[in-house]
Amino acid sequence: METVIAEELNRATVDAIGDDELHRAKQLVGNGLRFSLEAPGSVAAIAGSQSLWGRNQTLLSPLSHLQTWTVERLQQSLLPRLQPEQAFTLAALPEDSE
Amino acid sequence: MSPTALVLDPVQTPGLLAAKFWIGRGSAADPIGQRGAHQLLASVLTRGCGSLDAMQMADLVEGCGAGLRCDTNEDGLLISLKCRDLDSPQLLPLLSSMVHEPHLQADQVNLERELSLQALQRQREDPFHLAFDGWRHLAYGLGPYGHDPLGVAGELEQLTAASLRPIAQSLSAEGAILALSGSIPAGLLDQLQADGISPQSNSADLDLDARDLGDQASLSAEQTVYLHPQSTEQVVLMLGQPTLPHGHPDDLALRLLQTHLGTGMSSLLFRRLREDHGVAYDVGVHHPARAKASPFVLHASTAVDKALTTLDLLIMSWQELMEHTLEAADLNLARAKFRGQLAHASQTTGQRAERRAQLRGLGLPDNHDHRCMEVLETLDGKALRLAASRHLANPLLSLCGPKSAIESLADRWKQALVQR
Repeated sequence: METVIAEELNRATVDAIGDDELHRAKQLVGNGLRFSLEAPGSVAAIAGSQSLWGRNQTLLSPLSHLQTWTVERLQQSLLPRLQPEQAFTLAALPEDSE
Repeated sequence: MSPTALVLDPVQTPGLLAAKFWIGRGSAADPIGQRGAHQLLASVLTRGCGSLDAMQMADLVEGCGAGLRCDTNEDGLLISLKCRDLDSPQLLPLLSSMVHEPHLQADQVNLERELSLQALQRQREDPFHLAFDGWRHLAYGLGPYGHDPLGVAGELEQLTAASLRPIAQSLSAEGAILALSGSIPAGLLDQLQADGISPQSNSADLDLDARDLGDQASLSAEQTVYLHPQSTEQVVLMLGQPTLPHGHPDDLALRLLQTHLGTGMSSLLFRRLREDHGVAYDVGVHHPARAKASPFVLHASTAVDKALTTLDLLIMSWQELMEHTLEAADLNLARAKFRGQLAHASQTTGQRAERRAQLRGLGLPDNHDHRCMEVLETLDGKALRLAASRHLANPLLSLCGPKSAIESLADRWKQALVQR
């Protein structure tokens, strides 16, 4: 399984990510934030965390950051940091496995 | 295709819309010999409908970052959609298509059936579930509420795509309710109207006194206890009775008693069983909103050596409901918790839309909860005691645990019945 994950991460730095795939990812991330702003408890948690870290911004402002991500920018600045050689791996295995 | 009533609940949101599509045919309508059919049908509705196969459907929904699911309970089937308001024009038609044009492909039905059978298998290992199954069987027998919506393994195994088709047709012919909550985009209502879905005023004010409260098996005096032996260290006890439909004039009193007995760490069962006597690690009251005789069940999980005391305390707590008048402080606490629960349950658009659909489905007015808040202030301790006397006089006991332990409990139960 580790090999497959490594291949997939490596492939993402080389192969072009489709526009539809990027759009879908932005929708999923954006809606995750929108959905979490419904209940007062999670609004308080987000607002509290932002205040604690000195990020004085509106609750929805992270949505505008989403639009600045392009396929090229992802491949140049983010995906190289997500490669297996920079990862620490913890595998929980049955006692009798090698 | 029968009409769909539209209920609108516009609320300011960060551009979200929740839709709940309710059809009043749930596991209570499972045909004889096909228990589990409605739940299985619901699970395959998201696996292909209209011009979309299962993958295309998932692609459309997930591509919009939306959520779509379908659930079944005893009274009905609920399709839930949550999405951005801007995506709703292309996603909402899916709901109607799922009900009226499901693919019901054999491979998808087989896959979901296996998952349901696995879920039933897991339940058979859970003493809490076994005890509730026993109680349900005791209380409702072979009636509509007598089985878990997941079904009965022996009957579920026999279900195929062909056996689901007539049930899907009945579902399609049934009237539906579509509740929308959140940011409702301009033009969406026109689109829905073109599909024959339009808002309808709700003047529902049913006389629930006259409504069929049936679905209780006829019981002989001996049939008040059910035993499920299981070789574990723990005992699960369930003491309760089928009571009233949601919205019945006396149901608010039962809900207050439920809150008094089982809500939070200040509740009577928590204090009495956990803190005063330290006999049970899990206590509570199960009283869901149902269209017919809803269960009102006290439950406790305990160790074998503490089971007799636990049973005595449960019986005492039950008897007190009918014999003692709630003190003002306890009543005020129950009222405050009840108000808090209502507020807590209407925080998100999904919760709001589901409640709207549920109320319409139960034939209750849209402002039912508001009315309950008003009536709440007029209910006193005596009214609660009288309601308990009317509806909680014939409790049934279900036990799951080691054979010798639950047999001793059954003997104690019979003694208690003689003394009443």
